[in-house]
Amino acid sequence: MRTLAVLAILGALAICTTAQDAPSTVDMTQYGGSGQELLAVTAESLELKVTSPLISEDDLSGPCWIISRGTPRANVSELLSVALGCPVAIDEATNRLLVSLPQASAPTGTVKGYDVSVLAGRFVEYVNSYGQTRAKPGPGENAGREQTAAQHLADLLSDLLFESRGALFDPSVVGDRVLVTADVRSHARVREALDLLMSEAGGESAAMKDERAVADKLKQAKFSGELEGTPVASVIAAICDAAGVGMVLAPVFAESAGDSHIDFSVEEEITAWQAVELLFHRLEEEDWSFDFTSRCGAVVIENTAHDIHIGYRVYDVGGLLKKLNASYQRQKTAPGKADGFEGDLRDAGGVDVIVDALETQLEASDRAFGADVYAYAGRVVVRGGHRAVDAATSILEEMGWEPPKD
Amino acid sequence: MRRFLLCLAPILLVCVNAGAEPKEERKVNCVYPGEVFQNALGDFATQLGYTLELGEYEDTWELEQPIWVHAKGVPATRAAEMISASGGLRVDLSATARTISLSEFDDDRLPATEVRSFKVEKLVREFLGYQKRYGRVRVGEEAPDLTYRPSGTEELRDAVEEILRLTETGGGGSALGMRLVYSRDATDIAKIAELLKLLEAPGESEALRQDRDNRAHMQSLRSEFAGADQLVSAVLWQLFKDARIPVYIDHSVIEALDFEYDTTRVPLRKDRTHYDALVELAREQEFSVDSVNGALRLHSLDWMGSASYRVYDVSGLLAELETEYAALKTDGSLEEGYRGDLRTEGGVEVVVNALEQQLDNAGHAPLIRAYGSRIVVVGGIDIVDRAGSILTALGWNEGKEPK
Repeated sequence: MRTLAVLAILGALAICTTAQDAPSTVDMTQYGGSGQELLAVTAESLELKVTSPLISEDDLSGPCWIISRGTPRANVSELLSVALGCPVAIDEATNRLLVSLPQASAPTGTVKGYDVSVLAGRFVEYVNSYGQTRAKPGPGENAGREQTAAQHLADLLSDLLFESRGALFDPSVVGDRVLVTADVRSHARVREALDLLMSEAGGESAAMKDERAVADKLKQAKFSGELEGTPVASVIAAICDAAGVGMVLAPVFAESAGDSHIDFSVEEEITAWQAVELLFHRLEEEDWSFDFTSRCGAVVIENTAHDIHIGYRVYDVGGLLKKLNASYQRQKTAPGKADGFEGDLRDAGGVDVIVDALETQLEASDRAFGADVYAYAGRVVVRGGHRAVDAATSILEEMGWEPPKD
Repeated sequence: MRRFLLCLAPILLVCVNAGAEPKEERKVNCVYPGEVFQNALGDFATQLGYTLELGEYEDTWELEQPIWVHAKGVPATRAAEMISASGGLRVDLSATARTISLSEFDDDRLPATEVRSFKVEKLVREFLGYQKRYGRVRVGEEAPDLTYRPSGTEELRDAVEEILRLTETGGGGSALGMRLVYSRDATDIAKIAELLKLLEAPGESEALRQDRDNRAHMQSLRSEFAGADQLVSAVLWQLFKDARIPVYIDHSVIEALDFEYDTTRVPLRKDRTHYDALVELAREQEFSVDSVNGALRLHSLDWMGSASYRVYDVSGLLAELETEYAALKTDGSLEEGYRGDLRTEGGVEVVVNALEQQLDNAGHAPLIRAYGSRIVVVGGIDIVDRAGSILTALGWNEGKEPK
């Protein structure tokens, strides 16, 4: 019996040791130190070795601003990628923190083949119902190469999941399978996109939900303070701290935000979100140009030249297409009349009617800068910040689209 | 007189047989990790008791360059091949004159010692079956390139040449009827025979199996050798010094490396194998690894001289894809519509293109060649295993493919 008790204690000790061997969370705090420092400190905390064979020391010498306490191990590489501006991955097999060049092949990549036969079938159905008649090539012109439904889908995934500072994302199509070589995170994003495209109700990506959650936290928290001659980065850090959310400044914004000092005074308590908007308004007056989003529950800010939005919403517009088809039919006039209309939704461009209107109206909206609109069969996808997606939802509703009933 | 000749005949026969009996080749130890080429040749000659005749290469720049060979107890001809490949000059052994001389690889190809004809009827007939079902046809206004229209046998000859890179090291084959004829040395003839056999019954080449064994051996080695920015030459020595397999670095990599100055961040640690470190070093220094004639080779030669490959039969996958492309057809001539099929997509090229792209995405640059429904992936184990994973992700099922 005593032996068993001793064994139990030894077992418990062994478990504790194992837990210590692989820390599950880490505090990531860096106030303008270099990327190399950030990597070294994080790797040490997680007991990893940094490997960055193709990255020069200069590439990692820029200032990093990141505050994320108790960060789960699974989120570390994504936050580091944002702060450093290049892909970072944890190779659990070799206990290494791998840093690679943007758009290089993922060092921990695995290959997966996604069966897209159902989505491809829907695309075929859509083209048969609403596809525009192909224009005949002019004399001396070659007809463009035809693409299968699966190839159209691979193109959509390439656009939708593209990250300029991420690893290479280059799918292949064979029959009704899409092949992707990527790391775990990218495979999860592919799976999510396919699931949302398959879903009857469409829906928002996890990145979009994360951005909303961060914005909500900022809206619920209160902020007041008098910050004189303070770096912009520190002002943002103070606001985020008040809301209990983390912060990562991406490389270009981090450089300016660390160097520029401002007086930022909020005497009467306002929400942290209002404080962010107030700060952004001040900076915009000084010709700063930047965008707001989030990653893993932390605020992310970067210069607008670099698209940092990876969130999106998928809309099922099948019902709207049916309505539009009927409305175009109703607008047909007798043939051969001036000002008459002999076409239908197919001639008007099918789903492109919706996409064109959405793009035009989003461009007119001050909340939707840089939003991208894509279509695949009876689905429309809007990629951008949560405010752009909200604007897109309102525009679609004005077109006659009905939100899915819960 | 006749009786005398009859008595002499068996004696002569015995003498001839005794002459034909293979003599065990002299074995040597080649430990030349970054050794100057000329010094290595000197040591090699001493071990064999041969005279080194440098001729026009005396005091040339080439002989002052380093070579990298680590092979103990290997036959002299194998050692000569490795020293040649590492030094960039052919090392010729003359057992009769007991000399070692040098020549350029490009000059005077060695005369072929053997001629052999291969009947390839089965393979050609299978290829014709493939062509009839999946052969490329006109796509829209785009006509296929028909300037070169080889017969099934000629296509097989071209495939064999591309896979084994034959024309770069000797004369090509001749295709006549359903036969292929080659005049090459015995090693090349054996490689051609192996490839033709594996095209009929897909599987791994002997060199690939050897590569698997070599890498397994590297996986059994571990050591501690770490520090900030180690010399590549020091890490290479640490990696291979205890290896029991022959290893050499090809001249293509030697030319790109500076043994005195180039550094690496790849550490050797007790918690990971030498094989893991080798793979990481290969990625960092941009070279490939495979096995040639039993030796592990570090090279950037685009698979020249490699017989390390696997043949895959994808006929079952092609049949499935044919059905899938049929299901992707749309009505009439609609914008974004599709009227094609597997044939218009290029048949087996659909699979080859995906393999190439996904292997490239994983940081590999393999040589891939298809012959009908057979796909040959040339490269080391890491590439071939990765290709297998990609094909599986595509829906290829080894068990389901026809035998």
